[in-house]
Amino acid sequence: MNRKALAWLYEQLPDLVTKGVVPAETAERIRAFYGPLPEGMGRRILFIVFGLTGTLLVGLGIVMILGHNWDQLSRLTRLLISLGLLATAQVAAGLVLWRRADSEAWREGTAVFLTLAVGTSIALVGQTYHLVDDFKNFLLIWMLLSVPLVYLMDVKGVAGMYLAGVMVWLVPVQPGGMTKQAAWVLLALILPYCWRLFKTNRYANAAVILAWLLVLSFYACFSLTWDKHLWEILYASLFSATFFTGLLWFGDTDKAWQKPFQAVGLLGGLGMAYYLSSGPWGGRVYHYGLYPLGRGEYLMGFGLFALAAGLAVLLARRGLARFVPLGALPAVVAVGYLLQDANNSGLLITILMNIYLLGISVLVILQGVREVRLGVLNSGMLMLVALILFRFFDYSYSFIARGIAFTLIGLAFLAVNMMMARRKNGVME
Amino acid sequence: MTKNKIVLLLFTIVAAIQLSVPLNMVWQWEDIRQTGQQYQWLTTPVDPYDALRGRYVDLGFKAAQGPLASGEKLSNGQTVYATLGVDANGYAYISTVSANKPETGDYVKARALYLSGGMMHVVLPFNRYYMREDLAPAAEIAYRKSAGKDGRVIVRIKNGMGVVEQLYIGEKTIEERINSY
Repeated sequence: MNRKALAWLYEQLPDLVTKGVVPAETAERIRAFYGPLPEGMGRRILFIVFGLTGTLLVGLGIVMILGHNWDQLSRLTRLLISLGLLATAQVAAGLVLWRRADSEAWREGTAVFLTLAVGTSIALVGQTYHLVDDFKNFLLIWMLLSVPLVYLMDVKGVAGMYLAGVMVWLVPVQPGGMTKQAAWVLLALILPYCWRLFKTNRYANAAVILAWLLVLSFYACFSLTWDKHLWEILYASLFSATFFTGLLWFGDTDKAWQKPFQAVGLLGGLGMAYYLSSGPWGGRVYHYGLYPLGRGEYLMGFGLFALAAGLAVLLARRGLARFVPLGALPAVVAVGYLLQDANNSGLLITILMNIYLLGISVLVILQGVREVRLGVLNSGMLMLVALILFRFFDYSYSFIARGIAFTLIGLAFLAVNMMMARRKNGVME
Repeated sequence: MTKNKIVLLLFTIVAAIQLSVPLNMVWQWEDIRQTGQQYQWLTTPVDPYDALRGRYVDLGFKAAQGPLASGEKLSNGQTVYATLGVDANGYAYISTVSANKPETGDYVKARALYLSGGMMHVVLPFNRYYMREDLAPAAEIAYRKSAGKDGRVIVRIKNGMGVVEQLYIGEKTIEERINSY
């Protein structure tokens, strides 16, 4: 039971006893059942945050003081400092593991310090010999030397640094060649730790931050390792699968920032849908004719589509079917591909995409009205207004075509409104 | 063995690996500094927009090109081997550029840039001279004034790798030159 709820319950108990709602004996039994109020998380987190900030500042301060008269130091002194810094950090982390392994603050602090020391000492040695720094290689070695600490010391700070490092490492990697596939290995190295963290408490701050980094670095990996062929179905399926995963396993929270999977999946999918809804799609869709079957992109496309579909079925089974349309983009894209095969001007699929966006906007609005949730209602309105504005300023269609479409859809809205008003009046009478 | 002991043991192994990386770098580069062959390179100015990097002086070399080994074709960006020679004035030059490692003589592993008039232009692997952040801009200006005239770099070469020993402007080191301003 969460602390806030328990605190409220314990606050109410004496009152309930005095007013005779609950007998004193029952109140005691409730207390015995839940046990004492757990100690506040606040102080522990504060301790860790201050510990981390402190070590970081001390480490950086030492480096800056040393850097001040760095060029007056002999090569030997510089090397002793560089290696001494690393050795000191290692001894500190080792001592904590030996004596204070139970203290999270000490583990996190010394592990971050050690990670920084690893990078600093390599960089300082490189600078001493005037080496042209190959940043990519440096980052890779640094991350690989640091990642064992995540497991040995059970530290989230280093896990976050590792994921951030991997993302930065990915940026200069050119698509093509073998190095790009190595990105997946790097990502896989941290997965068991994230998995364990998510299993214990996926809504804890550290777990949420790691989840964000994980989702973003996953997309960074994916965008680098897959070619542009069939990107519409690949990304549409991936965004849907991400969104559904979030709903299925990360949905027990009200705070938006604790839902990285939903946020990235939904916003990514919507962004794609809006992009594909503008202008004739034909010019954008790669139309190379049919590849020999078994080509990587096809298998991947089918695989991801099946994954998204499977997750949608799971959602429906859990009574969350109302969210499925929001992640139905892959199905729309698949129909789009078929339409493209029939008429490759791209007009049909662009219209289809607009219908889809109009449909889900209306669905979200209806859901907002039904559940009386203003936030949901406003999101739906925003989606609708965005669609209308995009189309209003979309110069790929003539004024006449847009004018007629606007008028017809507007009339449809008015008609539905009138029908609803009549029905409501009918009910009132 | 308890779980804690295993963790400590593994941590010790990881720590040893972490230490071995910078130690190995020191070992390798110190060996080149001690036992490598010394070469003097004349400098050239570098693109000023690219040069002011803050922490180091970007170095350019007059002799950063050499005749392409006969019958070879190189692509841009490829790793090449530049065989070194010393001219009558005691300065280093590249005698041939080839995709294959030479069997005799000192060489440098470099990156092919472009071919012009039978000469392959290359990027030498030692094109930086690190300095204190507040001195680097002044050093940059001093370097640019002297480059192509009396600026030279002493580099130790061994097994295809080179490490910059000192940057000279005239007879003075760059540090002495800046301090005399």
